[in-house]
Amino acid sequence: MGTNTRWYGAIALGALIAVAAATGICTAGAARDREDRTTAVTRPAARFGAASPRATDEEAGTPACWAGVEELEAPGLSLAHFRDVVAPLLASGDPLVRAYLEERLTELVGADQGRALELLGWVKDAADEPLVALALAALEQSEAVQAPDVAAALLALGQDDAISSDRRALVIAALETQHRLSPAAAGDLAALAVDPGSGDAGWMAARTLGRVMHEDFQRTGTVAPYLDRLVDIGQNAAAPNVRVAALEMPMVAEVLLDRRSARRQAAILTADPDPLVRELAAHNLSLAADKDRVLSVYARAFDAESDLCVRWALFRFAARAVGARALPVMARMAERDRRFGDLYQQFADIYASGVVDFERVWLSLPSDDPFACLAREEEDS
Amino acid sequence: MKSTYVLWAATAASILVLSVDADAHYVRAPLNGKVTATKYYSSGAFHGAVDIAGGTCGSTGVNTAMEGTLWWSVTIRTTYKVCYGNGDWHHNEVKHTFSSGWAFRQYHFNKSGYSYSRSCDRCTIGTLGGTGLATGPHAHLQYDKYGTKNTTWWWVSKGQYVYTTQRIGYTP
Amino acid sequence: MKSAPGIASLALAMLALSAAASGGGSAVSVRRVDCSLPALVARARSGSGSAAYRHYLAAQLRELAATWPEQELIDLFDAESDPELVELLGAALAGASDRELDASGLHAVANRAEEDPDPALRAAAVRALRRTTALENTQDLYTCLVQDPSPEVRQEAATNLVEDNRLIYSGHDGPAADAAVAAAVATDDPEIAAQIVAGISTEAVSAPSASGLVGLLGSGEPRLRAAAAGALGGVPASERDAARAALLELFDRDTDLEVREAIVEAVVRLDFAGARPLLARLRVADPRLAGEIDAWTAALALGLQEWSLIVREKQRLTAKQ
Repeated sequence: MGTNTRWYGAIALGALIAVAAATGICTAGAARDREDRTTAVTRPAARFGAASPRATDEEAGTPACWAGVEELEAPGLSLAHFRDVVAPLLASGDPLVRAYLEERLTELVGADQGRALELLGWVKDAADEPLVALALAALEQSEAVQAPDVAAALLALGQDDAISSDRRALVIAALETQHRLSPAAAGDLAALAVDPGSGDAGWMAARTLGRVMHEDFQRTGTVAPYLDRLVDIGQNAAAPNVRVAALEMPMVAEVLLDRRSARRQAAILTADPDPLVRELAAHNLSLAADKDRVLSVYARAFDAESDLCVRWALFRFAARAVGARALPVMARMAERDRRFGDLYQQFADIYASGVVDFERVWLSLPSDDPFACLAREEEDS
Repeated sequence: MKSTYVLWAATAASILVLSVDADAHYVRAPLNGKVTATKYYSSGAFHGAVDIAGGTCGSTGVNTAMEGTLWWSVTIRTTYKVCYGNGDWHHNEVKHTFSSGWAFRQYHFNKSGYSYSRSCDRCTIGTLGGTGLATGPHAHLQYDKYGTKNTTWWWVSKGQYVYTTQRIGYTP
Repeated sequence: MKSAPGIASLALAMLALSAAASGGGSAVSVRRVDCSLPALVARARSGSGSAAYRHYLAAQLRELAATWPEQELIDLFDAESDPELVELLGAALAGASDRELDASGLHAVANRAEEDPDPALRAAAVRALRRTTALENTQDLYTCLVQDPSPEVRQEAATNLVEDNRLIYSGHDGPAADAAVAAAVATDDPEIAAQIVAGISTEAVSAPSASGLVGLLGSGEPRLRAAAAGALGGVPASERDAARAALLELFDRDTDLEVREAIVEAVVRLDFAGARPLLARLRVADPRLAGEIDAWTAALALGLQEWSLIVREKQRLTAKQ
């Protein structure tokens, strides 16, 4: 991961300022003397360098234009009329008009709980999947979704077995912008996630719990109620993808683990049969509050671990957990597994150079994937 | 298996959200083709990314996938055309590094005249290829934090046909 | 002189709007039509529509610009005198450049940003360059723009530098950060300089840029001194010792509280937990800093190894008090 070396315009700072002062390199203001605006703009190609080859049309993609879309800008537009107009637009797959429809529908709902519940009516009744998806996406971004009645209606619909799992998943996802979840609501989502029959709705429930945790954490610092449930799901869900999703979410929110949460993650690290899950636990543990304890957990786990990529996770996250203080433990890891010898030296050299921030340590490594753990591929069909 | 619309709507954030979140980007298909793998391979082994195959090895262009102008760092490990893999450590890679250890990366393309580091918005960085550990020509798209894959950013499913004009996910 | 709006386009739009205003009635069929650049521009010029619609128009212009004859778009842009349309068309041109690796459109916008006699139009052109490859394709443009006689132009240029560094390069690019520091040093506007250096990541700046930041510590404006101090806290490890020395030297002679608080933050950032002894000395030297230093000390006690997390927890601890 070397440094950038391009930029024909890169000039030493001192020389730049001196040249600017001496030669009047800035022409800003000179054009004010010109009266004819149409000739005011010049394009001295040499000043800005040569052009590069153009991509083909296939590579550029083909956006569309639509006559009649202004219909949706009418003042006082009802949701029913909106629904009448949008079907061909949704069917087209045009991503720009789709984004417009979502934003426009969000505007139309605003903070109006009645309109929000009207959209939920579409979700229950409509056969048109794109319309349902649009309605829920708009609802998710609206102010009205924060109203308790609307959130409760969404949650109830998300647990309604009469609706397909796919559609229930969309409904659950509309809760991701909630500022917080009540304990009861969080419990319902957790139960849905571990339910072996929940399908896509269960996966979405795990992700939604994690995303609301992030929201609540950013606003209030609250994390524990969600974290416990996510770990429960990580340990107990039948579907592997649900377990992985639940354990990924703390990584996104960068939550600090208290002792209890750290103990649970450590248990996963040492006991889960899935190396990916163990890797996630190693990642999450790097933000545990008790640094000494987590360092010893990493050291013991490394000795017992057979998977190279999990060992790499333990190695690098020891540094993330405690910084240069991890070097002695990392040295022992390198003695245990000689494949980590060069890596240890890289980390030691970086810390010796004065880098303290783990993000910069990471960026300073010659490779962020020394064992091709990220580049592993097995098959393509 | 996740249906298209489940994930498309469920993962999409509106412009309102994207406008305030610096690292949030929609992801487009980097070429027209079929999704051949997502979280797990057919064997059940973990993959944790999106693979898309289509077009002609060595000639179909592969774009950087994220919407919006970003600096893309290109690493070329194989300079000749490869379609069916040439072993570990030989994959060509393009990557954008965000803050806090997040990175979006694409693997396996063949080197072309466009394969150099620069800022751009959905520009061509090579041709469809199978450099590195690959059994066929495809584009691999991945989002990770400090080397740990994140699997909640996409909304496409295996077997789905996707286009360069199509959004296939977003990174929050 | 503004170009006349398309009468047919407006009439169609008005018919559609009046039909829809009834809130129901017969279904209207939307249909796919050929994209017309003049029609899109006319719609944008009308100024009507919701925020969502205006975003949509801007996105359409940006996407479609990559497929239209570039000279047609450049001619439209050059002839335009409405700032909002200058910005829209300029963003479309610059965006097309970023998509197609050809900087011609970008250059047209950059020229206008520098040379248009009307400061409002120069500012609009600068906004159009935001989050594009302008910073690396226009050499010293921003050094010039921050010296523009118009405060609005200078402000837009500063915003571009900060946002481009953060959003295109995620703070990791040396030349982008150096260009920003160069602009901050070049401008005579201390507020602009302060915004720039406070808003960028200095993790990848060069040694000359680090020196430039040290030079800004001598500014007569406390806000700029504070911003420069904060920026020095983020310099690469190779510049750490020189940065620390300059910060402590400033602390000895500068009694402004905002400046001293910025120095404290920078000292923490340079050394993390290693800064604790120095923090203790600074606390004694200026009791006004006690609360701030205690908050940093408490955050450091968590043992976090990333600046973003240390700051986050420090802010959380401070908010609780």
